[in-house]
This record gives sequence, C-alpha cells and structure tokens, in this order.
Amino acid sequence: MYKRTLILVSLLLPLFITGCFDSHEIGDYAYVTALGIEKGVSNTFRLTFQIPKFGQSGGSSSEEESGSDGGGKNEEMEIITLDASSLLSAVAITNSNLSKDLNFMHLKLIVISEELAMSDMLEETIAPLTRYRHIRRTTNVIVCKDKTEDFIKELKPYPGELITTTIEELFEKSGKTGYFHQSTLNDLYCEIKSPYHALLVAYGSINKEDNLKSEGGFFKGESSIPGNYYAGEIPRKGGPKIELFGSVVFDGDKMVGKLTGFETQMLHLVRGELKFGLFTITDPEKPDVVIPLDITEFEKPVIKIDLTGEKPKIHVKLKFEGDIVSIQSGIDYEKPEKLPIVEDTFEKNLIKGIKDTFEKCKEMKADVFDFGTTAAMQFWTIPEWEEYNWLEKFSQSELEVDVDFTIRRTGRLLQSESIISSEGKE
Amino acid sequence: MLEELKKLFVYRKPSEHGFRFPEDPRESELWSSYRGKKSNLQDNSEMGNNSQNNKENREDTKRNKRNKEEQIRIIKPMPINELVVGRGNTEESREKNKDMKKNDNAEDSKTEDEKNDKENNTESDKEGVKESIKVENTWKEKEHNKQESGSRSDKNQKKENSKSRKKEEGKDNNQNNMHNDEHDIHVSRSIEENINILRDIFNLPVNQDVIIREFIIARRIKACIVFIDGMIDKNIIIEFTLPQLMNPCALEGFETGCPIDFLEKNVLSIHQVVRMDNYKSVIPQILSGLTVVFIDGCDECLVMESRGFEKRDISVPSTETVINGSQEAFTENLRTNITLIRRIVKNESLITEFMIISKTNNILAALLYIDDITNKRIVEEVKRRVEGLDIDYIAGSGMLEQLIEDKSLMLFPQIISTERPDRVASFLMDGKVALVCEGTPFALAMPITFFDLFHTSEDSNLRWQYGTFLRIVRLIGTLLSLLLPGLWTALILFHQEMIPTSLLSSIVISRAPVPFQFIIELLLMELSFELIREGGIRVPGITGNTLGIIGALILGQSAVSAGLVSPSLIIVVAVTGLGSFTIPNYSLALAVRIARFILIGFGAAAGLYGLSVGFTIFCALALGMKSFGVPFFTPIAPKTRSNQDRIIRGPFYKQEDRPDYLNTRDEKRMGDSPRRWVKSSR
Repeated sequence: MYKRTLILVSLLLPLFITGCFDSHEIGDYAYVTALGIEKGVSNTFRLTFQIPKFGQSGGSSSEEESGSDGGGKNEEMEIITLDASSLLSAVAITNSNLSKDLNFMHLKLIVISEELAMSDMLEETIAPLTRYRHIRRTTNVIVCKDKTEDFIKELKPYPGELITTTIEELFEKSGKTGYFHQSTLNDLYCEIKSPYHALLVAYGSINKEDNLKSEGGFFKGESSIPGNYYAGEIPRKGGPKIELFGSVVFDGDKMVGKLTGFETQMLHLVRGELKFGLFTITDPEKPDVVIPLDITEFEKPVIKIDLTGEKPKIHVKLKFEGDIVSIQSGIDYEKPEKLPIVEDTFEKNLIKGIKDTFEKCKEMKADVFDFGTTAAMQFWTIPEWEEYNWLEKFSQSELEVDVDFTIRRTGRLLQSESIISSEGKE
Repeated sequence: MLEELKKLFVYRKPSEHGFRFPEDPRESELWSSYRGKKSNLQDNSEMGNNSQNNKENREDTKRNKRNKEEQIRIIKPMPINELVVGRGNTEESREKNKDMKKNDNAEDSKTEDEKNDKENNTESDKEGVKESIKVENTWKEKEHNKQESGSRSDKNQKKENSKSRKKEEGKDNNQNNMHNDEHDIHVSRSIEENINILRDIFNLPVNQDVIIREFIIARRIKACIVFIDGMIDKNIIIEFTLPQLMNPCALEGFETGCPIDFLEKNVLSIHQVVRMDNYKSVIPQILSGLTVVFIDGCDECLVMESRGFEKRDISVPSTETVINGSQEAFTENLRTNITLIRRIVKNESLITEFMIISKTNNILAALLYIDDITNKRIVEEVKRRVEGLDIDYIAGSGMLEQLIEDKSLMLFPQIISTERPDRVASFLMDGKVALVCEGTPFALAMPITFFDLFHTSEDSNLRWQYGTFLRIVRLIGTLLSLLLPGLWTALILFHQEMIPTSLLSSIVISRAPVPFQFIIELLLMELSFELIREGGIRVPGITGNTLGIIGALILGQSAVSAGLVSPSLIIVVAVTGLGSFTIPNYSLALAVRIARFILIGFGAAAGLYGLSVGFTIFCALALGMKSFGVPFFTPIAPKTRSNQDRIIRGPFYKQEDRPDYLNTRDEKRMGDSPRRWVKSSR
C-alpha cells in the first residue's frame, strides 16, 4: 500500500511542478480592449492599442469595490500607437517597454481604417489576427472613416461603465435599429472567402459636430428619409464623439462602397435580421408631416430565386405587422376604412427602399443581401455552384419585392379628434 | 532498526513474555506468595493433574519468578455468547466454540508431531528466541529493573528453557487462542477459596474499587456479594438483597444441600438473576456493574442485575439537527441507545446481539438487524469483522468504524455514523445492519452508499417537493465547497479570458494591493477559515459560535483593509465554507474539506485541465469504493433498480422497494396499493 501511494504521489508531483509555467497572475497582463489597424508611415501598419487602466484611482480599493461602478468611474485609457510590420512584432516591441504583457483575451473591437480597407490589403491585415490564439473570433470589426488612432482615442466608456460593456452594448444596437451591421472577425474571415455573399462591415466615424448647423433658415420641404446618413454625418451634438452608422461593402477583400443607415436597415429587413423597429413614412395626405410606425416582423422573409433564365430572378416576400405610434397630421387614419392608406404607403416606401438598395449593391457587384445562400440550394454539388459564379451573376439579377403590412393597433388613442380653437374646428 | 522499533510498540500478549495467569490452584498459591499474599487453597482435586501438566506448571512458576516486576494485569475478553446468557443463540455459539476448540487441538497436535519429527531446532526457532530475549530486555529497561544480575541469570534460564518451550508451543498457542484461559476457573464450593480467587483476580487489597461483602445467610450459610463501587445501584443491595438474605427466616423451608436454587426462587426479589459457574463469565459481569452472590457449599454463583452508574440524559442531536422530525439523540449508554431504537422499531424480529469488542476495556457493542428483512450474509460479514478484532482498547463507535471499514486509505466514509435513533431505525427497516457501541453517542450503519450520507431524516419527513428542494440546495452546496476554490484558482491563473471583463476589472482592482501570489493568498484564506472553524469548536462555552462568526467577520474585514487578501476571494472562501456546512454527514463534510485542498492544487498546477483530472480521479476512487461489498454510488453506478429517492425524491407512497443492492429478504416496503383510499394509487 505504501508503495502504491508512493507511486501515485510521484506520478502526480510532476503535474504540480511542470504545469505552472502557463499560469499567470491576473494582474500581470495589460488587457487590450480595442485595436486599431491602419496604413503606417514608417512601417507597413500603424497599430493602436487601447488599454483601460483598471483601478488606477487610489490605493485603498475596498471602498471603490462597494459600488456597482466597478472602478469604471474615472477609467482612464492608455493609448499606445506604433508602426510595425505585423501585429505580433508590435506586441513584442510594446511588451518590452511596458511593465505588463499585452493580452488580447478581452479584445472587444478591431478598427480598420478606410484607406486600408480600400487598398486590397485586408487579407494581409486580418490573417495574423485570425490565427493569433489570444484574439477571439467573436471580436467585432468596423471600418473607420478617419484615422483609427483618433477613433480609438475618442472611444470612451459611457459614464460609470467599463469600456468593454459600452462596446458590447453599442453593438447590440445593430439588432435593435438595424442602422449598421454587426460583423465579427469570424465573419470577416469567412465572407471574404465565400462564394455565396459579399462582406458587409459596420461603418464608424468620429462626429466632428459640424453637421448641426445653427445658421440659415429653418427646415422646409418634405421630410427626408430617416437615417439616410453615413457615419459622421448625423446632425447632432454631445454624447459620445464616435458613431456607428451605415455599413461598408466589400467585393472580395476590397472595399467597394458604403451604404447609409437607412439602406442598411432595408438590407437587414430582407436578411431577416431586423425583427422590429421604428419606421417613419411621409403622411400620404399631408406630405410635410410624418407617421412613425412600430414594426414587427410577422413572418420570416421568403426568398425565391429563379435561375432558369439568363438573369437570375429574385422574389422576396416580407410580412410585417405594426402599431401607429403617432399621427402628426391629426387625420383619422385609425378608422378601418382608412387604415389601408397607411399600410399601402408603408408597403410602397419599403419596396422602394429595398429596390434602391438592391440597385446600389448591384452596381457594386456585391451580394450583401445573402441571396447566394438561397440560390446555392438549387445546385447539387459545390463545384457546380462555384462554376456558376453567383457573385458575378448577381449584378445581372432582377428583384421583385412583395410586402404585406397590417396595422394591428393604433396606439393609446382610439380616435383622432380635431383641435378646437377660438376659430372653431380646424 | 525499524523492526526493533516496531517490536517496541507492537502489542504483545502477556503470555508471549512468559506471563501467565495461574491455572492450577497450587500454582496460584505460588504466584500469590510472590506478591506477599497468603493462600489457603486446598481443594485442587478438580484440576487436571497428569504428569505433563505438572511439568508445565513447574516451568510456569519459573517464568512467574522472572516476571516479578511485571505487575500489569490483562483481562482477556470473553466470547459473546457468555454475555448473552438466557438468549436463544447462546447454545449454538457455545457449540461452535467447542468445535473451534476441537479444531485447535487437532491443529496443535499436528504441529507438535511435526516438531518432534525434526530433531534439530530450525533457524526460525533460534530467531524467535533471540526476539523474545530482545523484547524481554526492552521490558526490563522499561520497568527500571535494578537487579541486573538477576535478569542475566533469568536470561540464561530462558535460553535453557527455550527448547522445551518451543516443544510446548502448540499447547501455549492453544491457550492463547482460547480467549478465556485466564479465568477459566470453576467456581469453588468453598466460600473462602472463592474469596481468595476473587482477591487474586481483582488485586484486592490494592484495588479499592471492588468490594467483597461477607455475610451469613439466615445465620446459617456463609456468603458474600461482590460488586464494583459506583457501577451499581446501591438500593438494590441495601433494600432488596442484603435484608432478604440476612433475614433469620430466609431459609425457612430449606433443608439440606446447595441453597442456590432455593435462594434464587424464593428469597431474592431481583428482576434479573442468572446462575453462573465459571469465573471467565462472572468477571466481565462484575466489571460491567452486576452484583454476584457467592454462597458457601455451592459451585455456582448468582449474578444479579444491578447496574446503576451515572449517565447522561437523552438530549437534542447536536451534529444532525433537523427542523421537522424527531429531536432525540443517542447517549453514551448502550442500553439507552438500544431502547431508543426499539421504541421506534417495535417488532419482534428486531434482533440485538451483544459482543465484547475490545480485550482490555471490555467495551460492549450491540449488533442490530431485523431478522425478516436483513440479508443474512451482511450480518455474518459484520459479525466476522467485529469478532476478528484483537484490540486492547476501543473507546466507542468512531474507533470501531475505523477497524471494520473496507479500506482505510479511502478519503470517503464507508460506514455511516449517526446520532439519530430515527435514522438508525430507517436504516434497519431498509435492511441494513446497525452497530451500537458503548461510550459514544453514535451508532454505525452499514452498508452505505453516497446517497445515505447525503440524505437527512428531514427529507423524508417533509413533503416531497420540499425534500427535493433541500436536496438540490445541498447538492449545490456540496459541489460548491468541493469545486469552487479550485475553479477560481484555475480561472484566475490560467483562464483569464473566461472571466467577464467587468468581473476581471474588479478582481484586478482588488488584487492590486495584495502582496502575495494568488495561490498563497487563497491558501492563507482557506487555512484561516479552517482555523476559525476548528477554533470555534474548541472555544469553551456557548460563546464559541458567536466568537467564530465575529472572528471571521472582523478577520476578513481587517485582512482586506490591511491589503492582505482581496475581497472577492473572501466571498469565494465564505461561499465554500457555507457550502461545506450544507453537507449533512460530518465525515463526508471533512472528506470534502480535504478534497477541496487537493483540487486547489490540481487547479493551480494545470488550470481547468488539472481540475478536471483531479475531479476525475476523485470520481474514479469514489466509484471504485465499496462499503461491505456495495459500490459507493450504487443506485446510479452500477445502475440498479431503485426508488426515486436519490437526489430527487418522489412522493412517499411511491418509495415501494427496499434498496436493491442489499438483496433483502423482503423486497417490498409497502403493499400493492399503499394508499387504499385512492382508487388507483398506481
């Protein structure tokens, strides 16, 4: 028995001795939360690391612990920018100057600059990222209009939050508003090599706050389509400096164009990725005011593709239901006989929006609608499908859209009443 | 070197040192003359007195001379059957014993023959002699023998004697094997002789506990009563024994011959009186508090029940407290404990067998089982193990548990120890065997599985939904206390990517002022928690618990503000501690507490991989473990038929079967429709 225990212990001991090299104290690392990649000046790439300084505010940590703010109240960022030939060499160089090791396990955002995206270098940029053990494939990727260094400098946490939480919550908005597309490193890598569809990446920029004009006359004319902006163009002031709006379209690994927020929304509706949202239509009887609608997807989009002809014919059927949020004009659209007017207007608006977006994508020769996945079902083998070259055929395809929209509820007002002033009823 | 040391500490029977109790009255005379006592033994006609015996006796006396200084007395245990006089199985076991003796004799004669065949002494014999000399030396040193010369001559004598002794070894062994060679003295007809024998046995003028009260029955017959002061109920002797015996009219109607029968039937108004005729059966009874009456002219004596020592009252269970259920716990007194069980299981087939389990302090244990339910082979196995013990001192069930469990190296308990009579009763009704032992307020039950350790009596008393909920909470607590510290170690040291960033940031913040490595910090905290736990038990009085909690709070708070540990770790350690308190069985809780440290080691060595390796090892060990032949995780692995009563407990009326693994004689707990008032109860 003693012998047996001795053998057991001697077998187990090496485990305790050798295993330890891989263990690191949790505080030994500098956790990078955002990584910027752009074209460098003195070397191929210019890399920017954003490192939040956890708990830099004071020695006695016990009191800060008690609150839920978790040390993010005055979270300061350390931004390190350097030129290097690749990510790993940059990491190695940075590590030698930093008391801690860079660690990408908690990386939340990779920012690629627009110049880099357009310069046919995406493959070289992301290849090491996908292979690098530390970086998760679920990390979000955006393409940035400005210098990534500046963008990351402006990437700040919501007051009282950690930067990672802020980034995560920001990207959740993609599914709620549909104004930009959420894509991960995995999407990036797979979609540039895919024969089914083209790559779509969120578009980000710094808002310099010069779009909000304070001079000139007040707004006149028909209200424009909401959300028809690119990132950085929204007329607003205050709030976070950075914004994600619209998306960037790639053909292969080269950026070929951008979509506005509205176009991205249309795209999401067809892809079935936007389950609900607020849409605004121009009042059909009083074009200077609008009717906001709260839309919910009723059925998944039905896509049928006819490949028998020379040009692929795509048919999309969408079904929505929704509520009227408000009627600015005061017209009693909630009456059953008038409801179809609103429904028709919305359907027409939607069909127009989708068709316009489709035409734009056709011009860019990029199937960001993901029609290819449906089309591929008609082929028996992959070589057949690859030979068909869908991505090329897409630019010749034709689209038909059917939208079926039903208003279920009219909000908390059963009936619109006209305003009564001293001059009587309007 | 080691061997010699071992010999120093290994217990040897006195007979192995050449120490024997006198068998022959003449011998006993010689023996007591050494001790400065006088003996008037005359009647020795009944003893075997052939020539061989005489020779042996002479040699024995020599040995006794050598052992002048050895004043240590060992009382050997007696067979169980002798204690349970008046019960049905006594005769059987007596017969068995006789058979055993016969076998022994046969074997011994064989060995003797063999030895006679060999003319020369074998090497082993010589070694044996050397060993005995060494042992003797050590004994002498221990005894601070001043007369060196005497001892030398003794040695020489021993060498000379060794040859002849070896030849008679067979006989010696024979005597050793029969437990009762020391007091195998028949009760004499003469009262004086009996008193002398008793004085010899109890070292009487020196030992003042044993009291021999001589008196005369009805002014005609000499008699004496023997008892141990303090062990008896004085009232029985003062009010019901002596007045009746010493009454001048006591022997009215008695004519001639031995008055013992007359006295037993007509005079003594004691509820339990047994006649015995041999000292080997009488002595243990005196030692356990009975009173013995010796009467002149009778070769028997009367053993009267008179136990009346101080004992603790029945109190509330302290280690297995429940809210809903019985609030009685065992006490240190065997009789009380058995009564507590019998009060719950009122069944004629509940069998109690008594046995003495230790040789010197003669601790009594009771084996309980229900004859109609329990598998006989389990009973036999338990008996075999208990009867096979050769131990001087056992203080109670805890020691007994260690002596009869399957594997002592295993971390997990293999016998359940409980202080609740209702649990023992339910185990008995399931077909398990219980051992109740004098001295500790705990009973043992066997065979067990993991789930017996995991359940409480409350689970069955509560409605099944509540019972199930409690068990799930307990399971979570057990897993937390086993795995949480190891898991935390693995996460912090190896898998930082698995921690949510916000948690990571707060850990980093809280760890920043801590000067130690994480593993040292963790061990420090775990250790201080164990200190608080152990210290809390030892703190005298009722302040213990409060002091423990306050100590933990203050210690934790100050450790954090002193920057010695991080607050997040305190939470981990506290949750672990709480989890370990949910484990209902104290032994299992201790096992988990130890296993936790091992798993921390695994986690620190190789992260989650190491932890899973460690956990797998523990699982494998536990799965391979057996308790009296029953695998530890029985209803699950190996899969056997069972009620829904493992973690999730089904309704009580659906617990139809007794445990399958016990192969009980009656497999059903209830009838076909346990709730007859429901039309279709199934």
